[in-house]
Amino acid sequence: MKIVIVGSGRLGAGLAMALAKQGHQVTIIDEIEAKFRNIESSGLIRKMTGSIFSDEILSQAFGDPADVAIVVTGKDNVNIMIGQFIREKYRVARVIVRIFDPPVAEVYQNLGLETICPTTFAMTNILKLVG
Amino acid sequence: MYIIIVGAGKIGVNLGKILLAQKHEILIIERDRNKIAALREVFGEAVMDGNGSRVHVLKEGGANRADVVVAVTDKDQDNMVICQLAKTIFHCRRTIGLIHDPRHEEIFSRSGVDATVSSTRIIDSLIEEQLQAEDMVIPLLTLRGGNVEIIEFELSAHSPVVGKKLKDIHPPEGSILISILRNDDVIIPKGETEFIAGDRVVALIKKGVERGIKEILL
Repeated sequence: MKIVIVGSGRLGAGLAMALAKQGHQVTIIDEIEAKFRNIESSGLIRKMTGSIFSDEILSQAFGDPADVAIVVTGKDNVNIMIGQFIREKYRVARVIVRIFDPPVAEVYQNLGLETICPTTFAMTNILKLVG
Repeated sequence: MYIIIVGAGKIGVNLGKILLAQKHEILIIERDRNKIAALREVFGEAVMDGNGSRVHVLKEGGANRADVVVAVTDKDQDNMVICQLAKTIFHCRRTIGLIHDPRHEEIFSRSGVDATVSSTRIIDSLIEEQLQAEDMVIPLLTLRGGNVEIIEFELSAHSPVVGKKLKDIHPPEGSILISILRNDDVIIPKGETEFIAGDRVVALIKKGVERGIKEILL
């Protein structure tokens, strides 16, 4: 599959490496080039540096339609805006967006983004451990 | 109406004052704690400290009974999310979002936000309006801390000086006509120079003389 990841923090970089290893065609975008330091096994992963709000960067990344977009910058509202933009403009079928704030994650899940909420995820698991 | 304004920048504060003067009930939500004390001096209890793109903050602010939510923070993504949350969770009737970056207009327009205000576009249209106004005076340069200005204005066909010579008109004290731009020519006016409609006159004026010069020439 063609997968584009927006944001090369720990999660973004980790996903890029794991997905490339599985044989997917991975592109990762970040505003800061130094963030790509987290990525090993570089050759297979296309890295793009530039503003994630810029049409130029996004149309380069999504010009050739992607199957999945994963939006995992450090800011909820940036992820939400970019996620919706990508879905609408580039017609990406699956847009997965990280949102830390649980009620907000729920809202956007209903608005058609696939949201991952680390807070809810951690809470559920910790509760399980506590038993 | 009950109107919630998120973001107490210049736009938010001035909007708040105007709406209060119009007897609306308002609430200003601002996340920068350092601004809160000064805001309370102006708006009293109608100020709330918090991040307006958090659901619990909007809830505490009474978003569920708000007629309008106006999001005018300095971040486009926050403005968009605030409007969407107000609409989706609190079923707010009308949401208005400020856009700083014109490239974001497209996504806002698809986001369900009822109305958007684009600061860049407003400035564009103000400039355009200025450029289209018939008797306008464009300040070209301000000198000496604003005490002396070089201005430019266009003579319409109705200008009282059209058809007259420079020696026959009397620009007010504290002003001097430096040049006339006519088609592609630059004319340094002398006593015998006659004004014609469409001339762009450039003048050096002292502060406060602008009105006087407009009266004589436009």
